[in-house]
Amino acid sequence: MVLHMADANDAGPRHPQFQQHKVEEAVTVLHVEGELDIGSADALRSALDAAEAQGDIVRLDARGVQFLDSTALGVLLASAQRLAARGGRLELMNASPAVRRVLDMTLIARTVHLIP
Amino acid sequence: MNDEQVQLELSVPAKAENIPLVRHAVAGFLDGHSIGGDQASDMLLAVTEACTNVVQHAYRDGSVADAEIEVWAELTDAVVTITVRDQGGGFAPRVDSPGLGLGLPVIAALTTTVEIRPTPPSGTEVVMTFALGA
Repeated sequence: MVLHMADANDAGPRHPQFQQHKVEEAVTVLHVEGELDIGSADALRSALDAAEAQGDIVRLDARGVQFLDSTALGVLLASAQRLAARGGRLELMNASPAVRRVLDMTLIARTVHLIP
Repeated sequence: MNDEQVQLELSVPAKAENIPLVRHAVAGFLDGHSIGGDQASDMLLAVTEACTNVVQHAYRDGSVADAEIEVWAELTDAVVTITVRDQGGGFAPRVDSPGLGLGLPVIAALTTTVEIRPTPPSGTEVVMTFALGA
């Protein structure tokens, strides 16, 4: 099978979706759906920036995250460090086994708080 | 089962937004061979990291007009080999790297073997193997 593809277009994988809401005064939940890699890193960064502006604890609900690579991990790590610097934290909930495996492999699980 | 003729060959412009296309194509190739679960996840992460390296590093000087990522995947004797090749300027230390520098360590952790070699006159190829059932 030989494929020669043009640029990504509407027929390609769909872009990740982000939705945030507050569950407590200091806790903002950011629901993320899709695949997180270099192609979606800017969107993830923007979504986290917006969530960080809402409070010191950002809880990323990764139930809908089908893929995560080291570029996305870098974005998560930067957010976790910014939040920690002001006494807050980044929490990650509902991470799939595949996502958890990446976190464990890179030791970023030490910086991002995993919630079962 | 003779899998020697079964392979995937793919070429896309070296842009970040095309990496998911590569990943999905490789996923389709693996699915066609009933390769799933953690092994498939490992391969898809590794090929993503290799393609990300191309986008971030290979064509930085802008000297290649049609910068592309070429990907091959094949299954032979219960070993999946995935090769990611570019025609860029090769691997070089980059102090302003936008990433964490985790790409190659992650690839090394996920693969059975990995070789990174220049492809004269220009470019680099990353050859990753994954032994099924290992």
